[in-house]
Amino acid sequence: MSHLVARNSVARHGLARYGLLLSGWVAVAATLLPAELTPLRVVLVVPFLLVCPGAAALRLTHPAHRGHGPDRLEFAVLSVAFSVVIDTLVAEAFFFTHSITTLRAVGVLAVLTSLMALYPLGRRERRSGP
Amino acid sequence: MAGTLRPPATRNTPVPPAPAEPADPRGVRTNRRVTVRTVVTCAVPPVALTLWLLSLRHVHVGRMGDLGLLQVLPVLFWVALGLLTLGFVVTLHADRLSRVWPAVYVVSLIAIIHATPSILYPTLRYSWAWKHVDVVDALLRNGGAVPHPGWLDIYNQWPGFFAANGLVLRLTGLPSAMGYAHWATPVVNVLMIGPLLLLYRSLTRQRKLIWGAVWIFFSCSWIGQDYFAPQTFDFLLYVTLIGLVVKQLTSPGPPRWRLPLLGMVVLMETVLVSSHQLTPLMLIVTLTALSVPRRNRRTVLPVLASAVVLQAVWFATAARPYIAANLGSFIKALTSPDSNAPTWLTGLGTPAAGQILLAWIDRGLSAAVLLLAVVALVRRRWTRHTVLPWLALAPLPMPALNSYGGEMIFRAFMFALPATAMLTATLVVRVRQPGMPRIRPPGWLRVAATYVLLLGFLGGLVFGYYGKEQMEYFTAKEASATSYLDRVVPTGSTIVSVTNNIPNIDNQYELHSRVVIAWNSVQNRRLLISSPLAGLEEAVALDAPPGPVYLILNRGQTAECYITGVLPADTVSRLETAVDHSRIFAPVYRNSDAVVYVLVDRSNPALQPRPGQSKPSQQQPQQGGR
Repeated sequence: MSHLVARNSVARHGLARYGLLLSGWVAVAATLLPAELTPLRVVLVVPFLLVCPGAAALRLTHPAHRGHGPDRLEFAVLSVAFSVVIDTLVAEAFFFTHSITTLRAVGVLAVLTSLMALYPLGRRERRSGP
Repeated sequence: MAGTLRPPATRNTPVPPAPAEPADPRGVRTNRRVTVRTVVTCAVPPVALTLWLLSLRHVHVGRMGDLGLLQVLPVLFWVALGLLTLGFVVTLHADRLSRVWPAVYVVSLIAIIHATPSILYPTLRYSWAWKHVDVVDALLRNGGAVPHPGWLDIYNQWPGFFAANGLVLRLTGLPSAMGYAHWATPVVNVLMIGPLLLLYRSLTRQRKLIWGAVWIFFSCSWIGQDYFAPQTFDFLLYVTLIGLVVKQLTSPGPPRWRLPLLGMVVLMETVLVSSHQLTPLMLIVTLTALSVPRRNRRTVLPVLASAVVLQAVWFATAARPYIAANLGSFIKALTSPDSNAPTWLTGLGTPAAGQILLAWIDRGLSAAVLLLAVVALVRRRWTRHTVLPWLALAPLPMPALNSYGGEMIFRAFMFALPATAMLTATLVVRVRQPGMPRIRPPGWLRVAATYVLLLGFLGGLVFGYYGKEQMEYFTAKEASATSYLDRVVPTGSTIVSVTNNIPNIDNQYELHSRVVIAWNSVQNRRLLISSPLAGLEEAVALDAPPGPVYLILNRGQTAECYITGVLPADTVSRLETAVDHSRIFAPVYRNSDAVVYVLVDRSNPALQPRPGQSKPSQQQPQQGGR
């Protein structure tokens, strides 16, 4: 039984990981939508900006969490806070260099999110996960 | 307060959960009581929210006087608020606390307090929120630092919040932040629940205490730094970061940071440092206080060191122009402890009578919370062994170091509030310690006392939070006047006003200059009062560079003079009458709430620029001043 639970948990974790990986590229695609579809663009981009980079960073900062919740609340709070931090730093870098374009900004965030989502964790950390 | 602090004797361990309560043996009667409580708990929020929404149907915000919204909100509104508080007290004193309902109550409280202005007002509340929207637009328009920003150059040097919003607009394709800025206050307050829970759950696992503290925080947070502003953004990150540090301090195991987590903490500090001037300083003093107990140092010192280094680097690089220009005033502030005096003591007019009452009430609320925190430290000994005394104490000396435009004393209260709210909650909710006998269910007297206390907090909050609304809301007609101004004002023009309480006045601020007479020298302001036209002419001569000059007067400026006493209440109307009778200004736009004039004849000797006499404005409020 515990074996089944562990397998389910690993599957869930993998799904979340690939979901994070995908989210950035969905946001990139959303920014290419025409102006008439701005509401759809908002629906696709805002959740990515608010949650995904931070959730991916949490894999590295809290490897034992990884979607299971010693603390679901902590996961939620830190996902948003870390996302805002990453978004702001990326935005500041572009604004200080006067080099912001939509595709560059969302591309950098998508790449960062993907790298953090795919970063291989050590065996010990994987074991401590769900 | 310092006298009550004692060095904690044990490690910062969270209070363990209370042992399970044995089942009450009193059968049917108890069951009936529990059922009634459950029904009350579940029924009150929807009923209170319905009453609240119904109460907003016929509110006339135009009738607000010197006590703001307090004078126009109907009885039903107050019934809804009182009912919700009663329901929360009943829920809090139930034998078992539901997992969901405390959150529902707190979100309902936030909706009633903070969504009311968003629902009632036709335009964005608060001139500073308009300004921040304008800064985001300017940043986007220029793709980075705004050239020729005038007195708004401070935003080029702390751009974090504005850059983040610029990114959101770029990526979503939204034309302006105006749409979501209107709802920023309730959203930000709901978001604040998360960091508060992160902090409080590191200190105790007793959910009644946690939710009691959360409720008290929102009941006492009258300072109003929760709108579309960098300080709001930074305060959310500040509480989150402090929550992370406290969690690390109270976690079992070695007090060492995992490297990736420490890296993320440093990135959070970078955003804090680059987004607002005051918050990183508050962070540094708080971390310094947390590092006083020896056992905390291994955890706190790396975070403190990185905050100090980042702050120093920022001051020496990006913020250097601002620091260099204002270093003298910072040092002067150290020797001027009276600089925290409110406007009603330093203005040239008399503030509205209601504002004096309001000032006493909001200061009384702040003093009451601080006093209750001290009582909690005396009565609840376990709190002395936590980080709470350090968190509460750390920001309090800050008003002696800098007035921050008269704001520091309020900001210090705000930064101490997460801790003082928790300390106050320990007086309301009794915590069962291991080894203690079972706590008796609270009697009706205790429940009633809690209800009265929480109502008292809310009473103080609404005075402080709603009492200045006459000057903080703007009509659609005032916004129309500035829209007109935007359309007609050529690049290089100067826009003159009595105060800066005008919606959207800083749209395209890099293209024109501003003269705000209320920020000018006392001599100029006195001349404006004694002879309005001569005062205006002198302000133009001193501060307006060659080029077209426009004058805008609106209801918001009149309201600010009346409410704060920065100038006599009739200053704007007397100036309007004087300008109407002069030949050098001509009206180009007028409605019942605003008027715009253009200077048609600058040949008058009184209007000639006076090089060398122009002085920097000494009274500009700090970023986001309230």
